[in-house]
Amino acid sequence: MTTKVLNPTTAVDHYRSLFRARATRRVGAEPPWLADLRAAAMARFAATGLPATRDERWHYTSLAAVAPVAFAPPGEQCIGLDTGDLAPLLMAPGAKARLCFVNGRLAPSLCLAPSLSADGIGRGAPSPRGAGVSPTPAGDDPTGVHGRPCGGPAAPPERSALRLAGWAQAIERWPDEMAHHLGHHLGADQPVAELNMALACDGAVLFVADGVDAGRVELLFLTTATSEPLFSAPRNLIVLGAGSHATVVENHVALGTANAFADPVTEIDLGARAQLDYLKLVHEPGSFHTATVAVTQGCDSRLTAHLLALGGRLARTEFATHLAGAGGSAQLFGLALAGGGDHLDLTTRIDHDALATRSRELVKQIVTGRGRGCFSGLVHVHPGAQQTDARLTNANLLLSDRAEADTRPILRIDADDVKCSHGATVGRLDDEALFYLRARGLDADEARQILTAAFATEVVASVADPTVAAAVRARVDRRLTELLEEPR
Amino acid sequence: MNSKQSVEALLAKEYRDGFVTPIDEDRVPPGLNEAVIRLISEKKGEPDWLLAWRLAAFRHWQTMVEPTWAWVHYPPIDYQAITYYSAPKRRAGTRSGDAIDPELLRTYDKLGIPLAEREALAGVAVDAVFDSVSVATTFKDRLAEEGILFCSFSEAVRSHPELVRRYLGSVVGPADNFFAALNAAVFTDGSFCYIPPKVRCPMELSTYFRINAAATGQFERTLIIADRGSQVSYLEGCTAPMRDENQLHAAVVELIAEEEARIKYSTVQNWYPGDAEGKGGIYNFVTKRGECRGARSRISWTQVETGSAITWKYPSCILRGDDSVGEFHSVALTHHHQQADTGTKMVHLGRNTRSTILAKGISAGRGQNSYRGLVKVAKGATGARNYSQCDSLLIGDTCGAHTFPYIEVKEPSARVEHEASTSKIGEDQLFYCQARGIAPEEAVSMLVNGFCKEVFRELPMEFAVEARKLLGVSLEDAIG
Repeated sequence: MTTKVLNPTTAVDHYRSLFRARATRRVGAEPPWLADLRAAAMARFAATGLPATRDERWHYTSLAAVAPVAFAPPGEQCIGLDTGDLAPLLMAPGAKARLCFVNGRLAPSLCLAPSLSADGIGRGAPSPRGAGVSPTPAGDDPTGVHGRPCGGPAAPPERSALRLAGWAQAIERWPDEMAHHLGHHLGADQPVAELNMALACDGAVLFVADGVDAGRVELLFLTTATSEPLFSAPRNLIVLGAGSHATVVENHVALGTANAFADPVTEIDLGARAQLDYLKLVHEPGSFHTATVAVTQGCDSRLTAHLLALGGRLARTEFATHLAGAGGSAQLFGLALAGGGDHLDLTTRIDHDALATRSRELVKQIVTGRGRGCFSGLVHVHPGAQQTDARLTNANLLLSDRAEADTRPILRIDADDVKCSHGATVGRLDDEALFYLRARGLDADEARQILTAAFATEVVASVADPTVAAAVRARVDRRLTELLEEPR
Repeated sequence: MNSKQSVEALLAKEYRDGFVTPIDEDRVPPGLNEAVIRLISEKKGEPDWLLAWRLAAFRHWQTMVEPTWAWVHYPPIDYQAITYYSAPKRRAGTRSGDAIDPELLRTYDKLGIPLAEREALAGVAVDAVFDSVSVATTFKDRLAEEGILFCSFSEAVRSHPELVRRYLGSVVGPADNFFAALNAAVFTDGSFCYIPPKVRCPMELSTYFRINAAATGQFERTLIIADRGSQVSYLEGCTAPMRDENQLHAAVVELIAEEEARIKYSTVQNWYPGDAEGKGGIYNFVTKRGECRGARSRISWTQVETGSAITWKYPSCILRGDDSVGEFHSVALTHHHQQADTGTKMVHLGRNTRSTILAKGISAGRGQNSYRGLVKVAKGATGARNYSQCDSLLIGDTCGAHTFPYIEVKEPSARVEHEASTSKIGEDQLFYCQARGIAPEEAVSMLVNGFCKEVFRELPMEFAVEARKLLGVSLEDAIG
C-alpha cells in the first residue's frame, strides 16, 4: 500500500486542491447555487481545518492520523461485485428499495428499484453524466417539474409516493427541493460536514410524500480495499412528508481492511407527524470515518435512531436532532463494540426547542483489547421549551486492562418546567453474575459471552422492524464473538 | 400575597458585607511586568529562589491563552489595569507584630470575625487576609503548643522556608493553568498550615479573605500540609465591598495529606455578586487541589458558593495513596446575572481509592449555573470507586442549569456511576406548604434548604448556620 505523507499543515491545501480539481471537471454540470454552496463550505473548512481536540466536541477524538495522509477519491472503478455478494452484508434484506455505493460512488448494478416509484431510480439506463455512474433517466422528466420552482417541502406539488435517487440525478431533477434542504439541517461550525459539502460527489436522496408508508430502504456504502488512500464524502438527504412513515438503514461496511477516510453527511427532515426508524451501522476496520447526521423534527414527529459502531480505526458519528416542532419525540439508541485498536466515538446532541418534546437516549459501549469507546451526549433544553421530558442513560463495559471508556453526558437547561435526568456508569462484568453462571456448569468464556451479549441486548432488542432486528442481532453476535476471542 | 411576591420579599435583602473600610493603602501602580513582580517579592523580603519561581511562572503565563471552555461570559480582562499589591498602611508608631490597626479590627468585627482571642467563636483560629496581606493570625501560641504551624504565607516563607520550598507548587504547579500561573507570579499572601504527625488539630482553622481596595486583584495562596496520621478542619470565608467595577480574585489552594491524614476544607464564598442588573462583582477564578499522597488518607471539600459575579472553581482530589478517599460536597447558587462554572476533579491513581461527588446547583433570576466535573481512573487503580450525583434546582424560566461531567476510565475493575437530575420549585409544592399554614417565604426557604441538606450536613456548625442564612439572602427576588 503506498501512502503519500503530507505535512500536517498542508491538510487544508490538500483538500483545497481536490476541491479545485473537482470544480474544474464540474463546470456546466452543476447549477450555480450548488457551486456557491460548495465554495462557501470550502472557505469555512479552510478557515478552521480539520477539527482539533481543543474543540470540546472533539475532546476525545484526534484526527492527527488523518491529516498527514493524501486521501483522494477513487478514479474510474470497475466493480467486481454482483447483488449476490451483498447478501451477507445487508441489514435490511427484502427492502423495497436499496441504493448501493462502492467507495463513495453509486453502483447502479447493485441497486434495487422501488416498485412504488413513478420516477427516481430504476427508470432508464445509466448515463455517463454527473459523477459518471449515476443512473439518470434518459432525458425525460415524468413529473415535469424540472427547472420549475416548487413550493418547498412544506407544500410540495403533486408527487409520486416515494422518490429515491442518486445525488447527481436528484440535483438535476429536483433542484429546488435540494437547494431548500442541503446544508439547512446542519448546525454551524462543523468542519467535517463543511468538507463533505465542498467535496460530496454522490449519495442517496429520498423523498417520501405525505401520508405514504415507504417501508424499508437500505443505503449501503461499501469500501473495498484499495491500493491508494481513499477519500469519500457521501451526502444523503432524507425528507419525510407529513404523516409519512419509513425505515431507513444506512450501512457503512468495508470489505477487508481498507485505508480509507469516509466523511459522510446525512440530513433528515421529518414533517409533522412523520415517523422514521433510522439505523446507521459502521464497521470499517482500518478506516477513518467521521459521519455527521443532522435531523430536523416537525410537530408530533417521531424519530427512532439506532447508531451502531462495530469497528474502525477511528469511527466517529456526530448525531444531532432538533426537536423544532411541538410534541416531537426522539429515541436514540447507541451501541459501540470496540476491540483491537478500534477508536469509536459517538457524539449526540438533542435540541429541545419547542413545547412538550420528549427524548430518550440509551448508549452502551463494550470495550476490549486496546479499544477505546468515547461517548458525548448533549441534551439542550432551549429557552421556552417547557414541558420537556428528557432522559439519557449511558453504560460502559470494560473487558480488558488496556481498554478505555470515556463518557460525557451533558445537560444544558434554559427552561424551568422540565424533567431532565441523565446517568452514566463504567464497570466490568459483575463477578457475582459470572459466578452464578459458572456454578451452573458454564466455562468462563461462555459465561462472559452470555453476559456481554446480554449487556448489548437492550439496544439490539429495541430495533422495531423484525427483519432488521434479526440482521442486527446476527451482526452484533458475530462481532462480539470475534472480540471475546481477541487476546485481552 | 402570592408566592412570587413573598419570595421576592424574602430575597429583598441587600449584600450585607458591601461596605468599604477607609484605610490608607500601600499600593503598587497598576500593571503587570517583571518589575512589579520583583517589587512584590522585595516588599515581602523573599528569598531569591521564590523570586525565580515567580518569574518563571510569569514567563510561562505570558505564553498561555486564557481558557474559554467554561460556560461563563465576560468582557476581556485587562491584566495591565489591575493593581497587584495593596496593603493597609501601618499606623505611625506601630511595628510589625504590634497590635492590629483598630480600623481593621472594626472591619472584621463588623464581618463577624473576631480577631481578639476571646469572642464567641473562640474555638476557631483565624488568619485574616486583607487585600494583599495577612493582617492577623489568632491562637498561634495555643496551636504551637501542639506543634502546629499556622501563620500567614509570608511568615512561613521567613520562618519555615524548607517546608514551603518542599511543598509549594507540588500539587498545583506554577504552569498548571492560566490563572494558577498568574497567581504563582503575583501571589501576595495567604495562609500556611502544617500539622505534624499524629496530631489532631484542637480547633477549627480558618482564613477570612477580604477585598477592600478598589481596582485591585486578590491573589492569595493557601498551603495546608497534614503529615502522617494528623487531622485538620479548615474553613474559608470571603467578602468584598460593593463596587460597579469587576475585581479579579485568582487564588490557589494546595492541600497535601500524607499517610492516614485527614483534611476537611470548607468554604463559604460570599464575594460581592454584583447588583441585580449584573453590574460589578468579583471574578472568582480559583484553583484548588488536594493530593492524598499517603495510603488511607482523606480529603474532603465542602463548598457553599453564593457570591461572585463569576465563579470558575474546581476543588479537586488526586487520589495517589492506596485506599485514599476524596469527597466533594457543593452548593452553588446563582441569582440575578451571576454565573458559576464549578465542580470537581477526582483523579484515581492508587488502588481501592474511593470518591464521592455531591453537587447541588440552584439557579434563579438570570443566573447560569454549571456543574463541570472530571472522574478519571488511571490504569492500575484497581478497585477504584466513584459515585457522583448532580442535582439542579431551577427557580424561574430565565435561568440556566447545566451539567458537564467527564468520565474517563482505563481500569476495568473500577466502578464509576454518575447521575444528574433537574427539578424546579413548583407552584404545587408551595401550595402544599401554604395549605398547611406555612408562609410562602418560609416554604421556599424550606424547600431550598431541603434540597441542600445533604451538603449543609457536611459543614462545621457555625458555617452551616451562616450558609443557611446566606441562601435566604441570595435568593431574594428569585421568584417573581
